[in-house]
Amino acid sequence: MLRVCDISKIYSDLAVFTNISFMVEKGSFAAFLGPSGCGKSTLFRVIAGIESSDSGHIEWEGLKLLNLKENTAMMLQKDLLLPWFDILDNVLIPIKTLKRDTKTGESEAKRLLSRFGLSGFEHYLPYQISGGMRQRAALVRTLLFDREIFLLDEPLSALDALTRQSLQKEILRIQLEFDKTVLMITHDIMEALMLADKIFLLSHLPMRIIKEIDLSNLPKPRYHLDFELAEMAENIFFTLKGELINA
Amino acid sequence: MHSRTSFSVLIFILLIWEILVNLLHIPKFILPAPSLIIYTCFSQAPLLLENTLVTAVEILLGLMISLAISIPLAIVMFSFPSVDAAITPFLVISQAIPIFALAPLLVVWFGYGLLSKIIMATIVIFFPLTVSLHSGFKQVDPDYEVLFDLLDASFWKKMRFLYWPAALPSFFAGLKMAVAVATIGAVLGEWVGAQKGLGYLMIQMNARLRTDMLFAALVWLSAMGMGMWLLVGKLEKHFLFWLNDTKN
Repeated sequence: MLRVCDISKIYSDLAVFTNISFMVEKGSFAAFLGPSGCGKSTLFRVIAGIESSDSGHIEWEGLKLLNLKENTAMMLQKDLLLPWFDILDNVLIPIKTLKRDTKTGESEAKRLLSRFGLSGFEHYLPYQISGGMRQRAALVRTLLFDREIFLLDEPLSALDALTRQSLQKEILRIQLEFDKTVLMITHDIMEALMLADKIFLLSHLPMRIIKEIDLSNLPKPRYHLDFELAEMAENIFFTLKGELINA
Repeated sequence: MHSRTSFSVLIFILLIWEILVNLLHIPKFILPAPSLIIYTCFSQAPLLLENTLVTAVEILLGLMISLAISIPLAIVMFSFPSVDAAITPFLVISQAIPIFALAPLLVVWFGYGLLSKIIMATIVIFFPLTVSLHSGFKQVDPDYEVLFDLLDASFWKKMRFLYWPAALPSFFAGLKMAVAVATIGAVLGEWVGAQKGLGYLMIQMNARLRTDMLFAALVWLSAMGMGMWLLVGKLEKHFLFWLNDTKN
């Protein structure tokens, strides 16, 4: 269980969020939906330990921690593949940086690249492959962090609709197959409904959770045309719209 | 295409020059015709080559010393902002003082030999190298740093995988500028006091009113500068293969 307890982030005179708390089951998928600039990315940066929190703590499997730096891998909207390395060297960055066995790491990387349809592209430079392939390579690199929690900060928002759908399936597959706890920021309501076991609707600054939607009883895979999902999407849309008007 | 245009412009200018010199009967010690300069370039090739090599050695050694100073200095300035703040004013001052003013002093301190010229070239080269490398480090996209921060990567790991390759385009831009201006430092040093080199040769020939030889020395100096610039361009293409290919 991931438990975020009363964490706050305040920049001199700007409170991004104060005393925010939520829980996510281990191995489940949580989506965060909220207006642009509400502090979602800051929340992820605090959880990941890139930025410090001003109060509160995080619990992971019963252990009280300041952040989850050692437990998280993060993926952003940009694929962040280094242009001077080929795809294989890019995905091997966690292995090389964490001083893991390179031989084992390389064979694992090749296996994962093949699993994600990148076999034969190992020695291509990032600019030589499509945006979807680059994001799949970034997913493989995130997997090679070998961490239990994935923080995904709008990883699919720059992709076209078709690539996006195929990558949603990949992310879902990763979560189920590798038993990862996934926290994902998205602006796409339908994407959240398709993937998540729990959705957190967030307010404008200072950010707070305005609604928590439990979807764990809805089986996966889910389909865009599902009537129940469409109804939920409309409710979420009006909740967020109301929040924007109030702000 | 561009080089063909440049070549055509050069030929046009030389033709006009040749015609004017002949039509106006300008004495060769005032302005020699391009044909005479070209003839001198080849007929005096052994002497010119000997002096070009001396100037080239001064520049190359100056370049090596500059690299040995600039790279560690840029890294230290980048990793310690306080050092950056303390050193930057001195770097700026070092460039604000005209090299012309320093040249006689350096000759007095380090003699008429190679050393004073190497130091002169070093002073000219090291500033653009340090500044370009340092600004290259600083321009790295902070999101990449997040990636390495999550991995708890050491500074040297980040330097190896991220900062150094990311700064290379900026570094090569500085290096190109450095080799282009390096000749100024070396030749200035030779003008003030030397026993060999293209600058020394220019002063000697100027005194003897051998203007054709002076121009020939300038042609060799330009060719040497261009050669170094092209060599750096080749190295840039080799090391920045990912950038060249992206542009293509």
